[in-house]
Parts: sequence; C-alpha cells; structure tokens
Amino acid sequence: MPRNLVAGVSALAAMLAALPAHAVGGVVNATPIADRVDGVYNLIFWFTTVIFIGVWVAMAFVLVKFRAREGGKAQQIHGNTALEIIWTVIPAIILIAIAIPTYKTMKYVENAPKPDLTIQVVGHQWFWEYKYPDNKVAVSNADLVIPANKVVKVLVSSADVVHNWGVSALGFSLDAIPGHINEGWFYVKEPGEHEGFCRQLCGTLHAKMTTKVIALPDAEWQAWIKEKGGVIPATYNLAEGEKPTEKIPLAEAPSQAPSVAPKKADGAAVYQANCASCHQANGEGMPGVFPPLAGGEIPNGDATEHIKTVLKGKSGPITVLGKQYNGAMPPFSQLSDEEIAAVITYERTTWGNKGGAVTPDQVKALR
Amino acid sequence: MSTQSASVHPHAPTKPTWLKWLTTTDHKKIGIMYIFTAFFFFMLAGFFALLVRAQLLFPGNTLLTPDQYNQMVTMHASGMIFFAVIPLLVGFGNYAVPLMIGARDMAFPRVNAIAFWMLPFGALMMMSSFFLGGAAAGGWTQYPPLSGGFFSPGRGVDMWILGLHVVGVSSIMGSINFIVTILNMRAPGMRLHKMPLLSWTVLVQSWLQLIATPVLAGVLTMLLFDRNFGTSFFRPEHGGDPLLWQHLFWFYSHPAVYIMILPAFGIVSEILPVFSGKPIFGYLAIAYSSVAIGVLGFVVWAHHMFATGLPVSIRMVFMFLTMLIAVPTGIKIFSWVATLWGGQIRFTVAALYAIAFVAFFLIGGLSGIFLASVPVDVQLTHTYFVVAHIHYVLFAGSMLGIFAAIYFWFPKMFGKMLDEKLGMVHFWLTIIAMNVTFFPMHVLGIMGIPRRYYTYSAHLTEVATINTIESIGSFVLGVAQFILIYNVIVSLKKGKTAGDDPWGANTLEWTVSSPPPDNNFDVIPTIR
Repeated sequence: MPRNLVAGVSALAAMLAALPAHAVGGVVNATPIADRVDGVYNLIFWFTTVIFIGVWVAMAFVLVKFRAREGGKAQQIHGNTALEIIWTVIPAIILIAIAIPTYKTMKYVENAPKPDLTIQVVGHQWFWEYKYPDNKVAVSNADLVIPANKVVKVLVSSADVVHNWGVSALGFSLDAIPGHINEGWFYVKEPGEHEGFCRQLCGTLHAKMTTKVIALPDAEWQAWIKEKGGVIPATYNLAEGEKPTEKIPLAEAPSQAPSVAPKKADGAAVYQANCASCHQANGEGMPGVFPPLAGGEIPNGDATEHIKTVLKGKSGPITVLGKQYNGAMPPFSQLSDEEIAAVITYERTTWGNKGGAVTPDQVKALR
Repeated sequence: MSTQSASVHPHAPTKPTWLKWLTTTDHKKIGIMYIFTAFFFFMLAGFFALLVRAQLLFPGNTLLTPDQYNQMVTMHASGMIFFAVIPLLVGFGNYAVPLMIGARDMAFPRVNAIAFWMLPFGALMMMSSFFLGGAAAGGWTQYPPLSGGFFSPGRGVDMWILGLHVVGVSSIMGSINFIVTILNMRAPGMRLHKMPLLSWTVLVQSWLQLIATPVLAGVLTMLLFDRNFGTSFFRPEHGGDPLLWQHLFWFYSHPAVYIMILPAFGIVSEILPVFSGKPIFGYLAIAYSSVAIGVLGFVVWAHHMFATGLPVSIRMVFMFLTMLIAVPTGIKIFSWVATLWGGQIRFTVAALYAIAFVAFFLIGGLSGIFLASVPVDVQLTHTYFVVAHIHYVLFAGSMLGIFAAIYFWFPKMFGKMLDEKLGMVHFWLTIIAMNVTFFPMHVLGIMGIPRRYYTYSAHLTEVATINTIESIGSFVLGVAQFILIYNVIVSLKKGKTAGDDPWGANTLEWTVSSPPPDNNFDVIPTIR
C-alpha cells in the first residue's frame, strides 16, 4: 500500500514537472496547430510561473520578517504612487506580450490551407458519426481513419444535443451544436493513434463518447476507403494547380454513388452503428436507463409505432416489460428509408422477437 | 457603558427566543440566519461533491448510475453557487455593512427579512426534485437542447428553474436594499472615500446582481416556456438557437463569478490591516479596482464560448477585455502583500485564512490568463483545467475569505471567541486537502480529459492515479469542515468572552458591545 502511494505521488510529481511541455500523460503534439498552441501555452506558463514565484517569495519574506514582535511597531504606510503605477503597467505589458503571439496563432488556425480531404463529424447521443462525402463513405460508432500528411477539413455538427469533438494531440476542439456547422482543420504529421473525447456534457452516457483518431500512411488509408466501398476522387492527391489527367484514375467503385449510404442496407450493421451504444449489442438495454428491445413491447407489437419511434424519437415515461423508464431517444430521421427498414426488421426478428419484417415503403409513408 | 435598549419599549410583550428569530427584521439576526442556512447548504452541496469524488475514486466504479452522477454534478454546482457561496457572502454583508457604515439597520428591514426567507424556500424547491423523479442532470450550465423538454423529460429542470427564480427575486431585493443602505445611510462624515472596503465590494456586488439577475430570470423563463408551453427559443428543429441560451446564460453567470468573489476581496481587505497593524495599502486603488472588475465583468461573457465557432473578430475582442481584468486583480494582490509589508503580523486563524486567500486565489487568477488566450482556451475549455480554475477562484478564493470572516466576526456576533487551536487544525487540514483535491485537476485538463465524466477507462493509468489522489484529498476536505462545526458549538457554550474589540480593529462594529445592542448605536457616530 505505501509503495503504491509513493508510486502515485512520484508519478504526479513527474507530471507536474512535465507541465510546461504539455507532453503529460503521453499526449503528443501531432499537428502544427498543436505545436503553435503549445508555444503560446508555454509563454503563458513561464510568465505566470515567474509572477507566482515572485508573489510567493515576497509573501514568505514578509511573513517571516514582519511577524509580530514584543514592542515592535508597524510602519503606518498608506500607499506609494510610483509603486502602484509600476504594478499596474508591468502586468499590462505582460498581457500585450501574451496577446500578440496569441493573435498570430489565431490567424494561423483561422486561415486553413486548401484541404486534401473533407470530413463531417456528427455528434449523436452517444457516439460519433464520421462521413467522408468526397469518398462516399460513412462510419458510425467507430474510429476516425485519416491519411497522415494531408490537410483535413473538418465540419462539426450535431444531430441532437450540444457535444464537443476534442482531440488533444491534434490541438482540435470544436463544439457540435445542432443547427450550426463549425469548421476546422488539421494536418497530422505522421501516422499514429490519438485519443479523443466528447468534452461537452451531453447526457447519460457522455463518458462513453470517447473516440480514436487513426492516422495511416496515405496508401493504407486509400486501401481502407476502398475496403469500405468508397471511392478516391480524381482530384485527390493532386498538387496545387494541377488538373486531373484521367477521368477517375483510382476509383474502382461505380461512378454513380449518390449518397454516402451503403447500397444494400445491412440491418445488423446499422444497429451496431446507431443503436447499440444504448440498447446494447444483445438488445438487453441498460437496467433502469435504456429499455430492452429483446422481448420488448414495441419490437413485438405494431410496426407503425416502431417506425415512428425510430423516425421521430421518443421522450418521457414509458413502461417496458413491467419496468418504468423516463428518458429520451433522439430521432434517427437522418437514416434512409432502406436503412431504417433494415434496422427495424433486424430488431423485430432477432433476440427471439416476433414482430416481423418492415419495408422501406412503410417507412416512407410515415416520414 | 452600554445602555439597555430594551428600556425604549418598556411595555412591549416579550416573545420567546425562537419567535424573535423567526419574525426578526434586525440585519444582524438576518445576517446570522443567512450564514447558518447557507452553511447548511455548503455542507449538503459538499456532500454531493464527495459522492462525485467517491464515484471517480477508481476506474469503472458503479457507486452511482450515470444519471445519478450527472444529478450530483449539477446539484453540487447549483447548490454551492446559489445556496452556499452567494448567501454566505450576503450574510456577512448583511451583518457587517450597516455596523461598519454607522447605520442602525438596512434601509428596508422587512424587505431584508423576506429576501432571506425566500432563500431556504427556493433551495427546498430545487432540492425537492430529488423526490419528484430525479433532479436536473444537465450541469449547472443547463445547455439546451439537453435541458429541453425532449431530452430531459422529467420535472428536474422545471424545479431547478423555479427554485432559481425564487432566489433570483431574493437576490434582486437584497441588492436594492444594499445599494440604498450604502448610498443613503452612512454616518455623518463617512464619505464614500472613507467607507470600509467591504462596503465598497458589497456595493459593486449589489449592482452586478441588480443588473445581471433579471437577465438570468429572462433566460430561465424562456427555457421554462420551451419545455412546457411550446415556444422554441432554443429548439433548432423549430428555428430556435441553442447558442442564444449560452450568450444570455453567461451574461449572468460571468458576473456571477464576481458576485461570488468581490465581497471576499472586501473581507480580506478588512482583515489583513487589522492583523498587520497597518492601514490598507492603496485604499483608493483597491476600491476602484473593484469597480473596474465589476464593469469589465459584463463585457467578457463570450470567453466561455470560444469553442462554439464564434467569428474570430468577436473572440479577439472578448479575449482582450478578459485579459484586461488581470490588471485590477493584480493591483489587489500586490496591494495586499504591501499591506503586510512592514507590519507586525499576528497569525490568528482569521489572519491565516486571509493570507492563504491571497496566496492561493493567485493560482486561480493566473490560470485565468491561460483561459483568456483563445487558442489555449479552446484546448482547455470543457476540461478539468476549468474545474481546477473555478475551484481556485471559488474555494481558494471565496470560501477561504468566508472562513476568514467566520473566525474574524464570530466574537462580535456571539460575544465569545472561537477556539484558536481547533481553528488551526481546521485551517491546515483545509489548505492541504484543498490543494491535494484541486491542483492535480490542472494536469488532467492539460491532458485533455473532459470534466463531467461519470467514469474513465482503466487504460488511462495516469488519469486513474490523479483521480484517486484527488478523491482522497476531497474526503479529508469534507471531514475537516466538521472541526469548524464542532468549534462553533463548543465555543458558543464555553468560549472565552470576547469583549468589544478582541482584535484591536478600528472599524465601527468594534466600537459597540459584542454582540451589539439591537439598534447598533445609541448615538450615531460622527466620522472625522
């Protein structure tokens, strides 16, 4: 036990010693933005550390030197104008010294270079959806896979409540606000994996909304896109000003892939991507929090009620298998009719449920 | 020496003591009732925090369900801000300010009484939600759509809003009362520039409350209507905008931070001169830096929203204004150190708390500079760094100031001294445990670990270590407060008799008996 404590305290001391480097807890600076933010951070760190030490040394001196003594007399000083002007002006100068590099860094972050790739990040309760609109690929409840050494433009939004997509190593953090699209960018210097988190309280399973950014060498990333059934557009990988020589050099997938939705909706896959974070892979839900689908009234009852629940969401008290629940399920109207039909069919025919299949036309009629 | 004021009404029927307290309009009794009520909620909201820390003691803990955890996070912050820190400071203001400025009572004694009585009822309304299907769980910031009717269908958010409405009205009444009292009821000769610094900070605090609280009331009403009556101020699917809430909420809640710290500045500015045997250094600079902080406090709210995608030009303006606040804050810190310089410092518990306030509030002030710088803030906002920052402002700042005030004015309130030995134990345990609890949060934040997570993955081993250390610190911090409670109970019964002026202080409250007579001054003093 004491050994654990000693280990813990020394680990903490090591981390405190590493504070100025930002490299605590194995977080690295993977992008030029993270490097620059670190520069400003370090500047502020040293200014504030000097001020902190200055005040503490002065206080320690005062507390030792001027402690009450027998027969001692306190000096009756009311102020000192020169001194007061000095300690008003010097902090103001320090603040200007901090504000200038801060402003430069803001400009750098704001002026995004021409992107090689665009990614849409959509927050959901409680998983992230990543869309690659140029590549006709979308993944959900999975890691974000990107190419290293490429400028990636990121559009952050939300399908339900406010989230925040934050990845320390990338120097990236943007709120995902319903009704808003926030734009940012990053350029990951080398292949690697980085931890990301939802940083804005978004409800029950906020803590489970972690994510991982996996940067691959470009060739591996292109292979990954194709494995997902996506395309590499002709404009990708061209130097500035260069024009594509062939129509679609790298694309093997058919040219007509209008939406990011997979052509044949696989109910099990749609379930895994959108529903499993709450209702769990086995359809059992979470006791007292999320109602079960296995044996539940809705997946075994009227199909209309089931479709409406998925399309429009559900909020407020509900009784499932004799147990009370009082929460909210966001609407999933962003899914296509085919996907919704597939996932509802999956829910109504798995885990012993006997609700029966649902067609895309039934979904369309209720939209 | 002291004349019996009871002789003024020789035929007045005598009421039993409890009824005297329940029906009093005396600012001293009301101040004491504010302090005891708010201290009860300090312990309750502190208990919520300990449940949060117990849940985070090790990874994967299941002490609380995720929803219970979110309720505890929300009610800890809401309880501390609205029912503990603000009313504790209002209590000391109520007790000390009329005495210090040579007034017989507040300007509106009955308004003062009703403002106090709304506090426990507002708190009970909010806390009752635990028995109405669960308290609000969206964090004390209650960002919609999460706090809206769809995603929070229970009654928790409604009761949270109604409870805040009640204390909001109480706040507005109290602030009008303070402003009128301080501007109109000062003893002859007490010009504004001679007024004790606590009165200055309470005056600025009252203006902040008077201007900001109605905005909070408005935005709370909008949310209440969105939830219950089909409006869509914040519902994006009907053309509303969740960001509108954030702007209006922070327009109140940033000044709220100064509402919670300014009187603590005032308390420290009263106590440090007494125990260094010197006048305050730079009286006018300290007085007007409070005014500057109050004014600037209204034009910096968007620094809470640097990650929301605001235009870069807007963020620039808010960044510069935010940084500007460091200047008046620095003036105060340096002036307090200079007040100690050349003195004859007596290390009483009250003095220690006031000195510790300067030493540790400094950390909260300096971490604020990181959060003012936009690109750094974007990385640190929503993380534990912000939790560390606000606790160095509100615990190392406001609460240490409040503890200093308790040890300083207790003899005046009850005529008995608090036990200094028990006070020393309370002080050192509090200071050490406070830093063990809150300092490591800076590290978590710099690692990018978000706040308000009910659990964390075991593969982040440093996160686990830091959380365990913080939780242990918080338990010690919680237990240490019972030493204060014990000290108060014991000292009320058999503490040493205080006398009129046990500290050798020279503001007006120390010229009358301890406790002071009902009408404060038989003859209103004249200030030369």
